[in-house]
Amino acid sequence: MTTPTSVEDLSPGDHACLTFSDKEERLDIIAAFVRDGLGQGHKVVCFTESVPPDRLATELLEREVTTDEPLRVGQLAVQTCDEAWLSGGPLTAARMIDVLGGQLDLASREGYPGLRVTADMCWATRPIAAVEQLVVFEAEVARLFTDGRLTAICQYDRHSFDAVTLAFAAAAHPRAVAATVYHEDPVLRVCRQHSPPGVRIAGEIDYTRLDVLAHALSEALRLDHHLHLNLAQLRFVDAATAGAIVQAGLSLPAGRRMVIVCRGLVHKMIELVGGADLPQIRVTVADGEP
Amino acid sequence: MGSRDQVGPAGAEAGLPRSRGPIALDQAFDRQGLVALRAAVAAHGAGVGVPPGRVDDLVVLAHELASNAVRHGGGRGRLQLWRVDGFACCEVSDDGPGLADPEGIGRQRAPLAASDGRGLWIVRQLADEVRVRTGPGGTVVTALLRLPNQVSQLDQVSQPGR
Repeated sequence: MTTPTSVEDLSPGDHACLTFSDKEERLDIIAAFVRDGLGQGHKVVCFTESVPPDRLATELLEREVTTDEPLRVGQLAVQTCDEAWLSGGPLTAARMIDVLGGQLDLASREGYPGLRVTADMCWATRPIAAVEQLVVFEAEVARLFTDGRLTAICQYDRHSFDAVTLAFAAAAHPRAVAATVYHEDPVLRVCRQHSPPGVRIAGEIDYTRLDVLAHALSEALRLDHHLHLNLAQLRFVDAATAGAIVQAGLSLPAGRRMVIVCRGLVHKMIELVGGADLPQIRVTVADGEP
Repeated sequence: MGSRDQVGPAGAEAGLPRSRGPIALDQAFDRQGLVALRAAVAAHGAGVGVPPGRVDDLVVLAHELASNAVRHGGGRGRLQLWRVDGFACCEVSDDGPGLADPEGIGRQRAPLAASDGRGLWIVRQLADEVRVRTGPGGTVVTALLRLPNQVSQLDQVSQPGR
């Protein structure tokens, strides 16, 4: 396993491992993976388990991945692991590789230059499956990637797997994908958001972390056209930091804007410092609890 | 935390409590202690009668007063929280050099381009009453949140309590 890479930097033939503990981050990376695959004209298949297929399609849409037309024409397929792998007999590594090989052949026959597959691996923790088959699978599946038509991300939820299996999974994948994290401690996490591109801030932020905020925002200002600031999981922001966020929005040149997703206290603070009703800043209130 | 009872007048208003109730939270803080201070204030909000929908307001104003003390008031301070006469009171004191314009500060929203000066504006927006006492020995700011089930009772009070 190598140093984690950004999902945008995956190339055809890459077999990558995504270990995650934050479901938002997982969905963000999957959305970028699907978006880039569709954009390159490849077929994309999502095997999902903890997120039902309908819900995954909605999550992709909310991350600005256009799914309706690709789903309709079959460029994008979303199915449960049950439908794909667990039906029709006991699960073995050989059978899983057959399924994947079949998907690859099907994509070729349909005229797609490549296939992107992402799979939630948590099915392997169920009694019906067997972790040792998973281990064989990850080791033997490598041959499917050699001709560069297949690109895959296997998703491992850190909460579902034991440390030994996680260590094995990490070692069995030539690549690992992860979000770019600007700052992480028990109070605050600031990372790059891949889809839509921008910055995600979770936890609590105050003026003592203005340097982290400035770094993350300046990178987004440089890389992205519109700046998406996902504050849906942010529970606290102080006046100084809310002011700095609004100032970053105001600094955008004409034609570019900052889109802030937030809720509760954070929404109130953005409004109190004057961030509402500005042409460069659009504030959206997220549903639910932080 | 010395002699600040002598430092300047407080803006008294009829009907608002001047006294202290039993202290529900008494916590010293510095820059590293702000996160813990916010957690402590949030945990004690209900204990001083603040309804769930306003605990966030209490946390914000406590943080803004405390971070002002850290940044401009000598780097540290002390926060006390109590309930009296239908109000939750949050008081932050510091040993800093004092404020130049205690009555004017935070009365207007800071320009969007300003790098600082939003804290007390926010406190004045969220609190029902803000009292500032300041002088060369330090600053004491007390923010009051009116508690909802006490409104009608308070309206009948014509004299400042003491």
